[in-house]
Amino acid sequence: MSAVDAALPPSRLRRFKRSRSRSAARSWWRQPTMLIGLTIAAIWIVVAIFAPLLAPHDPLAQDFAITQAPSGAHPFGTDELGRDILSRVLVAARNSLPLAVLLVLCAGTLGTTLGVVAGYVGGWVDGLIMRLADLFSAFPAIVLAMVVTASLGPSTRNAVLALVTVTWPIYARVVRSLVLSIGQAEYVQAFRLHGASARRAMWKEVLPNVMGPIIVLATIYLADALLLLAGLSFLGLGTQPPTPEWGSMISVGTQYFQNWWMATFPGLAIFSAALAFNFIGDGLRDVFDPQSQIGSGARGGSESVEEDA
Amino acid sequence: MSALLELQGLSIRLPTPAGSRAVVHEVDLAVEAGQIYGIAGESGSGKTMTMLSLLGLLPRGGTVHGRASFAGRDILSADKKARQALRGRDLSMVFQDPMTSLHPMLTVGKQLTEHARKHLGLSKGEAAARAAQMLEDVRIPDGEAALRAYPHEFSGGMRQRIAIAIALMCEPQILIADEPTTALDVTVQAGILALLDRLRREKGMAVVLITHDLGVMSSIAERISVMYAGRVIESGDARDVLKQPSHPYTRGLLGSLPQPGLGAGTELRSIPGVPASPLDPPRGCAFHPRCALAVDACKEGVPPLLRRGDHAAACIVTMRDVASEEVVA
Amino acid sequence: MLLLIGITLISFLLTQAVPGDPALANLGQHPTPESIRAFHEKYGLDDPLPVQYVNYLGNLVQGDLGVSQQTHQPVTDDLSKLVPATAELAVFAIVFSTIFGVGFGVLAALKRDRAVDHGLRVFTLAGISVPMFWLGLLGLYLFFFKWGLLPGGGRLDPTTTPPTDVTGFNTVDALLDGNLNTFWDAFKHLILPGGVLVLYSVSLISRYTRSAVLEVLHADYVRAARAKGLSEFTVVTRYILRAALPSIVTVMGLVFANVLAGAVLVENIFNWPGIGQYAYKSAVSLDLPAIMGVSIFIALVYVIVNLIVDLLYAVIDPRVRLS
Repeated sequence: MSAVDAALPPSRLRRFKRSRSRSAARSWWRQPTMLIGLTIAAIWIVVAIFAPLLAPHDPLAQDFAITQAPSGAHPFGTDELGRDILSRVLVAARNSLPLAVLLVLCAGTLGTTLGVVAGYVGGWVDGLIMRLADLFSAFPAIVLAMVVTASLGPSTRNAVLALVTVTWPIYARVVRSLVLSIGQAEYVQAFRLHGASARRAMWKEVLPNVMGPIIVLATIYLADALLLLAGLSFLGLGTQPPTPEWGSMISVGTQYFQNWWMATFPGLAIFSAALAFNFIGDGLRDVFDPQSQIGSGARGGSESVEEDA
Repeated sequence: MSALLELQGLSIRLPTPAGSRAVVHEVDLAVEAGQIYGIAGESGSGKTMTMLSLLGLLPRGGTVHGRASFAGRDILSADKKARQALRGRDLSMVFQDPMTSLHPMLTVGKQLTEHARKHLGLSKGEAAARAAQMLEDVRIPDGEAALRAYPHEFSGGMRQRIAIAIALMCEPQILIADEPTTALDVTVQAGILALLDRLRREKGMAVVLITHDLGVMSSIAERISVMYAGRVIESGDARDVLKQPSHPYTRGLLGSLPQPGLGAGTELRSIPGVPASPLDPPRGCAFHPRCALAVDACKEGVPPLLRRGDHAAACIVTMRDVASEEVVA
Repeated sequence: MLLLIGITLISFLLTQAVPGDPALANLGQHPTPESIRAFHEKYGLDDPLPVQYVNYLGNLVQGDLGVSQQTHQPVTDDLSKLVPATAELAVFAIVFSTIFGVGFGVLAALKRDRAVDHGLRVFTLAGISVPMFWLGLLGLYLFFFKWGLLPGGGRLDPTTTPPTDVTGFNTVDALLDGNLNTFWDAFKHLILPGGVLVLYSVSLISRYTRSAVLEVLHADYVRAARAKGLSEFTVVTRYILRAALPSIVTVMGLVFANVLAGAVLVENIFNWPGIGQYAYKSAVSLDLPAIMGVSIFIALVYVIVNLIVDLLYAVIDPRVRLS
């Protein structure tokens, strides 16, 4: 139980639970941070798709003009092999963003499936799955990921694999508790009374109700995934050179850190993308949980009027 | 002689998602020392808001207009410090749900003594002794031990007694009891009411009893005001109001009250429709959509409180005789 | 207990999955077949897996984590030397981030939807979005390279004599020695790596504190406390914060894990001789006993921290004490 709590404090869990009954059609656009997040994310998606067209230089082309400060020809400067940093930052988006999405998709699918099974089947299956979840979250993500990639060899695939191993429990826990609370709900009981099988009830009634919170969770952890992947690459345990990758570019930058541009720009790329996803996730949570959105004065007011029973 | 607590034309506005709205309109009340004053009405009629505004505890953004005086002093314009000193010392409040109005993680003793030490400057020992005595006054056995206990160790009725003891620690001149028995079992209710009545007699304080339950009123209140959609629509001596209700709404409330005299076969009548929202009341008399006696004129203007002696009601139909004389309160 | 066995099993199996021969990774450029055999012999690498595991467990119970193939020292010795450094960093980060995080969170909740709240929301979202290793690098570039205000890494200047080892915390030991110069030097070395860890944790704590406080802000007992005429300060600290404390304590478990994870990155940037750097070095050199030792140690700490969190609940909330 303690590990469950540590991964997601009760207030946050409750928040997700509460959210399913509320309408999602809230005025999310009123939040400027949400708008900024969506804009930055959209820009990065465009960059990821059209990077080869946008990049002014070949990201792998080396030049004698090494470690040049930013200039007209190389707005972000060049690295230790004379490669154009702007082009590398842009092309790296093709690598980092889909990887983060892939990681979240894999961990989310695995975690959701296990969470639904644990919550719905219960008994020893539940016990087994949740003990496994405890086990994998007893290591800080990056430490276990380090061990995994170190054992299996550093590569992009192994980095993703390692991070899936350590992040699925987050989804499993949330989904399990959602399923437990929804499973008790009257409409699901009613559905089953009408003769639907347990499995049908699970897919038709329970899963759709779990999706909203999962999407919020996934958006927030997309930012985390990006940071974790970059962190592993920074340690040399993720994507290997010469493929441009933000984390490994910063890693090279540490050896040349008087050349500030070598690390600064890839770092800004990670920061802006992670910030965008966090902004969106934060806004989405407000959408699913209107309690935190309506002005408190108004909220306090209506609350107290209701209380006046 | 001026009353201990007097409200004149008190109005309250609260912010809502749709902008600021008035939820309490032009309320007049006068509570005498040592009196039990009942305020009745359904949910959302503004009873609680009115009382919270006296303590300065409206939700954020809420504003009060009009006058309210306590022992001759204006309390609405008093500064923050002065109101803080007033709260819990001269004006105390007991809330509806004893399960949630005590802090679950602080001992009963702490919650009983902290404000007494602040307001009255008592030492720890003095405050504890007083608290133990107070618990005895509200009939909690073994007060000494209870001081060290936590709220969850007591039943609902016991907790309400503790809440009352907390409110009484500084011997306030007025105790505002907001639905003190609603959340409790019927058997416990009578005990709490008897307790309030006894404490009033012993300590000479006034009690403002807020409730939607006129049955509760009838047993102990001396004067009654009935509120609907943020307005006082009837007020007067408790006996008059309960025996000869003048406003159709009050009659409806009494009609939906089980009467011991009526046989088992008698149907309990309830007021048709739903209570008007104080945020968006119907035009004219807010009660007219639910009123069997309503005439066209009821939709026109908000009826004033019309007086027949000491008894006032805001109805142009039942108070027609008075209305023609145009005696407007 | 089951958890601990599982943890050892996982880290054991993972390290067995290593495709490379650790002997090759550790014996330099041209190992002879004899030296490889000797290496295998020494570390029991040719025994069947279950035997290796049981041997390992048996040693573990006696506090023996094996010998690092890299430092040629017992892993427990390595760890005991390095743990204080990481602990000092972690304590620094947790103390400061708790003070500021709780403060910010309460402030944001009380000023909900005002400018302060929005400002803190953006700040904390930025705090959890910024890559720690990049921030550390940026800090090094500006404060060390550009302005020369702070040291560039390590725990002490090479010219500073280390204080007498009592607690292992250089700052505390320096104070115990009464040596303010050493204290100041140690403290200056803590600022950058600690600050990077603090920024992330502050954001995390602040966000959870805010929502925990909002949950109780409108509770009946808070209104009742105001109705008693208590000062606003008392209401906030004794009533609101107290009620939010269980949620805040819960986050501390999460914060602790994040500080440990962050330490791996931060220690490498700031050349901080702690277990994070050790973990990284042993991971890249396939030093099996060391990796296992570190991961088991970290998992153990993590389990203990969660145990403490559970115990704290009971201290904070009398209702938990009963059940």
